[in-house]
Amino acid sequence: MKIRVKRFLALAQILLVISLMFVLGFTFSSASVSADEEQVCCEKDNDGNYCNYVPSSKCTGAGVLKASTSCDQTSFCKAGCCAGVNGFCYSNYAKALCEKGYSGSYSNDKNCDSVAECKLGCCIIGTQAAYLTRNRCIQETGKFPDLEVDFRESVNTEQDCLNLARNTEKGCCVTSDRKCKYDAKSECSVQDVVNGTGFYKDTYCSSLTNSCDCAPHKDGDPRATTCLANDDRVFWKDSCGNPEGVVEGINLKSYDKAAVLSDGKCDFNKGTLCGDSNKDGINVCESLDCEGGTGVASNNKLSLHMDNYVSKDGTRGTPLDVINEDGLLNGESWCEFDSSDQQQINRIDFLSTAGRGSKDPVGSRYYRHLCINGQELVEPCKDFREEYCYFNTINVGSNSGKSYTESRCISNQWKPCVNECNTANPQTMDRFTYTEALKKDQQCCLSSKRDCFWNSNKCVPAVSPGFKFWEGEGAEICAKANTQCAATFRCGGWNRIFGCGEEGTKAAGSVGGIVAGAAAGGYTALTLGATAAAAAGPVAIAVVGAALLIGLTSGLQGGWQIISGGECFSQDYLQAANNLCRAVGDCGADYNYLTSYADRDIDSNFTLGTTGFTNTKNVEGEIAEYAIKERDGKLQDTKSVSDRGNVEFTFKDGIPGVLTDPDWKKGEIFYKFNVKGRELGNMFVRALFTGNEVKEQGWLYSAASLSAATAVAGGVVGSIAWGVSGGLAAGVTGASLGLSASPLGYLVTKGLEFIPTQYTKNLGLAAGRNAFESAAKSQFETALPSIKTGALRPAVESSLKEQLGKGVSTKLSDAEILKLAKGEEIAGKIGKEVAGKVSKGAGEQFAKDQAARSFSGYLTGVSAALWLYTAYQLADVFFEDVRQVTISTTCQPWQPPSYKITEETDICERCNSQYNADDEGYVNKDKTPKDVRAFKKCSEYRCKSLGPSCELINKGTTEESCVSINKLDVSSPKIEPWIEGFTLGIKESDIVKNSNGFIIKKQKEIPIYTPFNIALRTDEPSQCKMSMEHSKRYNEMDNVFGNNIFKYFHINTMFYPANRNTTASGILLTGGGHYKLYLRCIDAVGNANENDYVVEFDVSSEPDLTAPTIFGSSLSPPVPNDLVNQTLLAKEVYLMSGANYTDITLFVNEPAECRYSYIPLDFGFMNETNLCKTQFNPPYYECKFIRGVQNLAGIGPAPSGFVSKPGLAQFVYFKCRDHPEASYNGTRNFNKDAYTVVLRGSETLHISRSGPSGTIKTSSAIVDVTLDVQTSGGALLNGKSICKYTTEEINKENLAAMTEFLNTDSSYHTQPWKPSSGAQRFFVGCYDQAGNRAFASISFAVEKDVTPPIIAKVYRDQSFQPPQFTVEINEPGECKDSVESIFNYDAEGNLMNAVGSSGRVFTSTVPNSNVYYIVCRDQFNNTMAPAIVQIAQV
Amino acid sequence: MINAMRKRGQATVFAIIGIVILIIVALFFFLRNEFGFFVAPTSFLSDKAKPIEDNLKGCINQAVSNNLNYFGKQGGDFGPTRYVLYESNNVKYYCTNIPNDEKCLNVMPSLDEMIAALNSKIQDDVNDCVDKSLVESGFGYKIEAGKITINTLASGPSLIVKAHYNVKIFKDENKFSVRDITLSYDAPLEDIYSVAVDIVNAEARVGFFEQLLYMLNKKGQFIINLDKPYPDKIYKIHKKNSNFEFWLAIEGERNI
Repeated sequence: MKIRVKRFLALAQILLVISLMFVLGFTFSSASVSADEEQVCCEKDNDGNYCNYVPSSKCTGAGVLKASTSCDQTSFCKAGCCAGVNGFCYSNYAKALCEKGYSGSYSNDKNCDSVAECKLGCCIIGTQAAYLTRNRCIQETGKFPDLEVDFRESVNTEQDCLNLARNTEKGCCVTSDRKCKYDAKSECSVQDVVNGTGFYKDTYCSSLTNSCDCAPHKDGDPRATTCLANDDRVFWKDSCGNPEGVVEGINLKSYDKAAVLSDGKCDFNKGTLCGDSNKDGINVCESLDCEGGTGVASNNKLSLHMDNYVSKDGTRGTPLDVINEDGLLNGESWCEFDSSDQQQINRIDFLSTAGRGSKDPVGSRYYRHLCINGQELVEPCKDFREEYCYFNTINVGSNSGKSYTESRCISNQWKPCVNECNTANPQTMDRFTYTEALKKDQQCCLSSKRDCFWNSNKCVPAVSPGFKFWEGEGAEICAKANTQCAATFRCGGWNRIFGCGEEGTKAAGSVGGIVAGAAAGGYTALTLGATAAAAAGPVAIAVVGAALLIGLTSGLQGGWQIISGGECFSQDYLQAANNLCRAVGDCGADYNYLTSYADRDIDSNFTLGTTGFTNTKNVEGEIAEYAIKERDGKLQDTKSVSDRGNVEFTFKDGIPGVLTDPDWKKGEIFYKFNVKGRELGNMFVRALFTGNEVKEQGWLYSAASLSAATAVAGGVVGSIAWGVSGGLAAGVTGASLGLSASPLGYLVTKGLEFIPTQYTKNLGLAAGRNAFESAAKSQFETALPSIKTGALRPAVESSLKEQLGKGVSTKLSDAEILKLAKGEEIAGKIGKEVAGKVSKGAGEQFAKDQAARSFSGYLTGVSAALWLYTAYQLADVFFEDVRQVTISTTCQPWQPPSYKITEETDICERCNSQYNADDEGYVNKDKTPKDVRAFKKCSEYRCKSLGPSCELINKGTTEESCVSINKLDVSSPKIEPWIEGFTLGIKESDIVKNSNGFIIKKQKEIPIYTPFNIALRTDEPSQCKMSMEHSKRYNEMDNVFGNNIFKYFHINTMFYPANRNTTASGILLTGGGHYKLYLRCIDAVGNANENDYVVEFDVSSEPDLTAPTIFGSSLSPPVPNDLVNQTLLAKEVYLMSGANYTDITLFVNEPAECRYSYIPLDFGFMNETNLCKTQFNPPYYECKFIRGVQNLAGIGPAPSGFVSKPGLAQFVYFKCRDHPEASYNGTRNFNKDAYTVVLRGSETLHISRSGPSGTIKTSSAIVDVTLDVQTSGGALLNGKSICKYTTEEINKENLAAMTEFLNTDSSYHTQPWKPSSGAQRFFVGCYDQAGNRAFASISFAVEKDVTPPIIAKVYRDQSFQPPQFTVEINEPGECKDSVESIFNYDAEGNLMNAVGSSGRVFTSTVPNSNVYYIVCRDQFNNTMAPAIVQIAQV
Repeated sequence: MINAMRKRGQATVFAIIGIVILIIVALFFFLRNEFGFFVAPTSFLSDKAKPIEDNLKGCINQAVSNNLNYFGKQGGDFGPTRYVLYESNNVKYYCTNIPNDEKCLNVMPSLDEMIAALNSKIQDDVNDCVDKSLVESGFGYKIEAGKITINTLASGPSLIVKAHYNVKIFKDENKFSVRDITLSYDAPLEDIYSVAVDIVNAEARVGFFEQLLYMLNKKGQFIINLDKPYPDKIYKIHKKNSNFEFWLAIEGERNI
């Protein structure tokens, strides 16, 4: 039993645990649901904006359309053409804004091209012409009531339109009062000439001597010239100012230096325009060009003549030779940028659609400069190099021969370069596929729609984009430039046995090799000894040869050997990988833009960021280090310069450790993919080449495995052939096969170069001879001393005869033979041919001497050595260890260099265009530019590129600047007085500095009530605050000193309370005396002064001649400052009915004592008991007259002695006198004019009527009721008052807790209300301006009936004769009937007769009918549906 | 002795006469100024109106100079809801960004709306500025003061502000109304608005406006400076020989 219980409990526990798991799981998995508010396109949001995409809660206006989609997807906000708003047309305009916002005419054509109202034409208004829409023309012409609309649709260009203005019919318009004006006929009110007045076509006013009082211009007077608004030319003017033809017959150049033409025929299109820029009254044709052509003095104000437009490496903008040819003409535009590397390269074969090679330094930007009207404008292209500047030169007109430079900021379409045009992948594609993919990539890259640079097999942006690298942006793009480079290492079999280069094994490897060599030599000697014991020479050759070959080879190949991919360890590879990285954007190790200026000389610590590029040392340490150490320099030594593709293998430079300074030229061969020598095994190089260019080749030991096998085969074949036939030719042929392909053959071939040619000829070794011939002169000379001159003589003599064309008459001595053979005069000319013949002769002689004796034995020795060596190689190959290692480079967003900012070097400030360091500044002391960077505004991007601590402060303000907020900066701003900013003539000598601030000397007292400036200077951009209390932390201070912008210079104006224009947040001075102002400043990092900076100054307490000013009183509060004069007017104050006193507080501007009287008296005659003294309660001094607290803290008695009733007008006159202190000995000033208050009486306020009352019956669900209250009496006797209401009985007389009526402040007060059913009770309270109060209540009931009546009973009432058709309904009402058809209750039917007084029983007026149609309605006007009663026939 | 006495007496008489004449002259000017004696009533009332007119004129000048520059640099809006902070001004967006589209959505305000906003601001400032004490009745005359009505117009090269101050000055049966004041300012708002329409239409149609060609087409009558605080554009327009500058912003899009 117990067991069963236990089982049960156990099962229960299991179930409980399982169920708990579910419960807990459910509990924790039930994520809280957060409902993001829906965004909608709102036709008109709650702020009044049309077609905004806002949260739905902001789109709640009645009838406002909204849709949860973008505005362009809605019918009400879809963009189209909006016409007719002030005559203008707006393209791509939201429908609702057009139609509902501005009552415009909307159509779907976004560009307005097909909208007739928007077609442009020429609008002629008098002598003016403008290219406008018709509606606009009508609107413009409408301003001149006498003009008719002249709109010419046929004019298609603005220039044609402007020219039309010239051709308008003109002449002199004479008015009746002899006023004459030369103008268009249309502007003359009298078009025909009548009695001397009217329009005289083509006639100058000065010629109308009888009608006009205008004298003609004086011939040759340069001041009688004028310019017209719509004409380029210079005109003569008459004495009335009217034009009199274009200036000719005078040399204006001699009168005005600004003139560029001698006459007045200026033409805007040719760069001249009428003007008088020097305001000397002489109008001339002035040049609109920014600078003349070659030979004309430079305009020093132009940016391109500033420092650093031209750098030592090139030009940072459109080259000067392009611009300078014809000067800078009006309308020309050119480019400017930061680095000469960004220069545009306009070469046809340049593989860049943007003419650039992606060498933009970080932070750099492009700028477009314009010349217009003789001034230079700067248009920065979009930051982050989202735009770049492109220039072009065009010839304008064959006659002028002038060339114009045009430029434009072009949107940088770089994304496809990286994302779409790099599909070829050598690691996953075969050669053919890879080649085809490369072709497509190139087409993609060089598409005109993209701004890319094609580097033979990689597509990169032509203008590298900028990123917000300080926020980590661009990581994804940068990662596309990650590279991998694989290198293969080999450890030969013999070395592996003795150790592959591990510590201490290298020597063992070498020793092993030598031992093996010696053993092999011994073995060979023994073998040969057995078969040809007498052949000592061959045995020696075999012994020594085998020992040397094996021993030397094993020594050279000790440890790990690199057999491919040596470039992976080169600086070139790292540079190329980094260059690829920085080409795709602000990535990798790179310099910021500042380095490209003359500042290049500055420490690269300030400009070079290196952390964006890393190369992973994915190599087994021992392998790489051993190979690098041992092969230092040897790798490149073994290859010719052309074969290795000019790649420098500088293993010493920490490879594969650290990239040296980035250089676009280093690694260019990788980056540009034009390496001629290459290795298939190198993934990086393979990635750079097209497939056709790749060819296999062996480097050093690259084909060791294959060639060793070939050598063995060749040796075996040769030996067999030699052994079987004994013929030399076959043996040599076999040996040649082996030698030509094996590493051994390489060595043997080299050795044979030292064997005389005759030997090789006799043996049939043609390859040996060819190799010897190619050994050239130096090797020949090396071998020459060992050759007997007799062997040389025939060849030299024969050669002399053949080559020099003459016989050798004298027998040459041996010395002469040698000399001739070596001599420049013969050997140099006959060269190789002579050497060949000489060697041939020498070889023949040598062969004759040696061949017969020892050839067979020697070759046997060689063969034995080869056998041994081949066996050694076989073992080396079979037991070898080959490992591949990969070097990976990682490309990440560029990061600015970190450095410690010092007081002397804040590199961040060099971003600011107004940078003004003594020598290196961009502007002169007078702020005029001297460096091209003065034309380049700093931006956040540029600022951030200068350092991690650089921050653009005061963004969006005029004080925007780049400063360092180095985190290491823990020092607070240093504050000191800034003398130039003080006013009131305070000089340096007036200030005494101390350890915690400064004092303005007592002698330089500040005149009281005079605003003055306190000025401070901080050593870094700061914000400052101030306080009159000491020891307040910066954040606790409420008053900003100056403004809240981070800056170096701070000015704060000190005001007094009564000063006009006081700053809302400023500290106000209260009067004369000594002041201490406590200041603290904070820098952009957040370092604030720990201690107060104290500014002390004195304000004079000079004789006060001004009486106190009473600003107002508690009965009539102060008026605004600018209406202070009105305080002298009497103020009317109403008192509560029956009141016999009133308390009052006066607001005064300075300490004073005040009195009052009931008749106007001088202060001295006023009753002394009616006296109060002021207390300071900022911003005023208050003087109180309060009943019952007299003589307490200066409080005086309240005015009294009257009774408030209708008709009372009690005048109370207040006057004050300053300096209430008893000790004051000076003259006290008091008011001459009194501050007057008129106390007026009132009567009791009454609520004469209130409503509604009774019962309100309604059939609607919502009933609108109006609470209304009528008041009478009160202060103004007309009931004017403010009424409030509440439903809470507890507050029925608590006006403060009540709610004001919607319509009140009169004698009739109303409040709309929507009550529910049942009893309603409201408590009403009213008060007037005298303080009279009245209360009442409103009670009423609401009955709602929303259901129609129901017919309860239908019958014929037999009590009538004849019986009547009777209907009974369930509630009081009335009924109608008809015996014909269903009817409309309001218009048709017969009213049934009511029976009794219940209102529920009705009889029909038609007693006998079989059918009745009945409709009833109750007292709430609820009408039932028609009922049909069919009387059954029994 | 007698002669001496006589001479002293003559001198005294002359001195008294001189003082009397001075008093009469002073009285004359006092009465003339305060009561209009010896002055034609219209001239008297006109003199009384002049300080009011001068004050009104000064207030209009002050209101315009305080607001016009600010108004122009904020794109013709004193409190834009969509704007970019640029050189301490909230420059109103005239064209808002459409994501992934070079073109933008044209939201430029109408000229009438712009002028109405300026008018309202000038009206408020003038109301606050005018010296109400100048319209208080004085000795011998009475003043009835009503509202000030400002009407601002943008007309070609000028901004015209018309002010009507409903003040009537009475003396006896004569009545004089303060004259309407019309002031013209160098603010070619209407002309510049027309340029702004062309700029914004081009930006809305093609996402690009070539300001250099435009300036050349307009024969250099307008100078358009373009700045590009990332990612927006600010167009600064001013008319040749005018100091009034009008800025507008085109909202841009970050492409990274």
